[in-house]
Amino acid sequence: MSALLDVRNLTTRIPTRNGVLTIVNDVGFTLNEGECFGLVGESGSGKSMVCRSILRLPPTSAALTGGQILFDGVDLVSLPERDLNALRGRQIAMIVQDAIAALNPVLPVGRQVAEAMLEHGIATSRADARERVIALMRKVGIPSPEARVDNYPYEFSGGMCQRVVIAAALACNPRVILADEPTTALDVTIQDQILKLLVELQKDLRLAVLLVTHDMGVVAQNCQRVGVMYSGHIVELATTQDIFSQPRHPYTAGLLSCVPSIDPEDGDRRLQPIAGSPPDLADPPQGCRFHPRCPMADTQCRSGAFPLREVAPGHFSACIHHEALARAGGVLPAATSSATHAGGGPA
Amino acid sequence: MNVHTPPEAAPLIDIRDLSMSFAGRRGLLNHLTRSEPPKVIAVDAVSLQIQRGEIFSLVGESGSGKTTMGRALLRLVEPTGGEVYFRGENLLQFSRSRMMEARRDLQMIFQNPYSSLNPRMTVRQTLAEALSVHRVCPKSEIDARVMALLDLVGLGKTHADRYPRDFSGGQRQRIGIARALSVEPAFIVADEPVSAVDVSVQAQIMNLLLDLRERLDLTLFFIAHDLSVVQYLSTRVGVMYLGRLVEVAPRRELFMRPRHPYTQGLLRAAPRPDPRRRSAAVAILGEPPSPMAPPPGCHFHPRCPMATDVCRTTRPALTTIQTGHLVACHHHQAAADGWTGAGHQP
Repeated sequence: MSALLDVRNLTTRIPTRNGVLTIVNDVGFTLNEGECFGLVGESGSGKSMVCRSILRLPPTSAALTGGQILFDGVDLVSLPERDLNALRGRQIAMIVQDAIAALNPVLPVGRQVAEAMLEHGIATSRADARERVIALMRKVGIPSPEARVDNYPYEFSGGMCQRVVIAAALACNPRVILADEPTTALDVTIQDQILKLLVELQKDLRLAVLLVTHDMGVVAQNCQRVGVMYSGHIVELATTQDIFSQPRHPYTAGLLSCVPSIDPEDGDRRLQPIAGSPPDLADPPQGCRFHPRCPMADTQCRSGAFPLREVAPGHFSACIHHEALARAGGVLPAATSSATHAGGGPA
Repeated sequence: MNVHTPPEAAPLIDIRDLSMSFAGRRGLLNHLTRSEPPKVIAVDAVSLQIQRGEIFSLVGESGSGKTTMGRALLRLVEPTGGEVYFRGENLLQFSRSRMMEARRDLQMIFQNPYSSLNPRMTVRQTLAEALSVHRVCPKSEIDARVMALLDLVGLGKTHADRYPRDFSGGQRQRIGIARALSVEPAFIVADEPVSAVDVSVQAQIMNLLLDLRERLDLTLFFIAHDLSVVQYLSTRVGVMYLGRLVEVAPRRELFMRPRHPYTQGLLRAAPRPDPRRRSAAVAILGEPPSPMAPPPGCHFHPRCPMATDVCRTTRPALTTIQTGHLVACHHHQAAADGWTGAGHQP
């Protein structure tokens, strides 16, 4: 597999009243054709900003201050705005979290899906565009598209709006889809439908999908590889199987032990929360940014840089104690509170 | 509808046919045609009993009426029908002042810890206010109480004189919990208390609630949409769909042997954090219908794979099918027989 998108040392900063915040810090990963790559992290980890930085869409005050974003060998960072515009929506399209806000409320949805096709010359005429839009709407599971094409966004549910946004993203047959929390605003049964649709499209059209999410379940169900972000850094990157079965970074291990199971068969183990809360980007800790919350941290973790290193084939970790974690089977040493618990509650 | 009552104890809260409907706005068309605006039945004759010491969870998707249900039973919105008995007395008939007194026993934890705290009050002031309004203790003891409360929810002395803006989301939720606990309530409605916080903090808050329940013998009515959170916390679970309770069972029973096709679909739709068990098929097709025009019969029939003619015309009653397990489905037996677990094969 060749890397369609190759992000190297990406850094994005935002000036604020409290000084310049480094939202994305030296982030690198590759996205292959036909692959769904997950970027997972909590709020403020910088995952959405990575996604936006690729198309140079961060808030205007933010600046890409370093790194390369190679798309098919072309560096998007140094690309003039005009040339980048030719790629936006055409080669690389985006699906945002809030579909209702992403759509123009005073334009029929069909016009909005058609817009990029006409802009990029994919459709030859309005009539041609309309035909293509109806076909796309059918493809993304919007019932009776011939009638719905002239409806306005308010006439659609949240889930249907997200389908419209997906149709708009697919309008120009892009090669890369950047999906920023595409189902976070949706109910679980609709989330399930939308994610299954995305995966099906990704397989059928050989799309490369960057799936940004905070939900480990969404990652497990949909991604082939995952990058775990914490405080602006990717702290671990591996195949989904490896991330879940043998995490090599204490933050990943901590995240996994925080997620409650839906299955009573998994036993009534007490969850092990990660102590504290994510650091303030205006005043991040020295050394490894996770060390104040990490049960494995020692003096070495309090200073210096912690770049991602390959710790096993295809498995990257930024933790110097990755071997100890691997020896412990990916299980963190117990925090001070009791490790066992009588049950999720008496049933 | 007679819901099960375990013989050993009278329930702490006994909800009978609780209903809450909202009248739609009267539009021009209604004036012209002299027609009534559409009515939304957010809670449709729900009956439920809650025993002391339980963590009863109400799950459902947005628009199911679960939040309205929680608010209506504390009279934060005035229900349009039914009764809510608390220690044998009907809350809905309480006078204003009587209700004010009762609120000391009936507290709420809100979903959004940002908007439910007064930004101009320090934590100490927020907690002291609750203590003095309800005359929980003599003035001289308020300070000591505030400190004890902060300690109870895992915050320190140093936090007392700070403002809500100085805290993270998880810490604010702890303050909200401390405020609810300050008056030593008998019953707490917690409306999605962990859905606005990150997963690492969510586990902290859930463990705190479990600890507090054990230490203080709390009874919690927990409103949630996340089934794994519900599985972790609850003793008993109710599932709502479009204003109606469709299934009630003890936690383990509900997750192991769900008998309503909607509950089964919800369990299959939840993304499992396990890449070895991936699901291929879509769990439930279609979208929830508009609450302004709910389908006749069983509200779930347009999305239900098992629906037959009877489902399209007749509302299934919530019936006890075994001790403590109630379901409102004409085909619950077939649904139960067809259930092979939500676990997905590789």
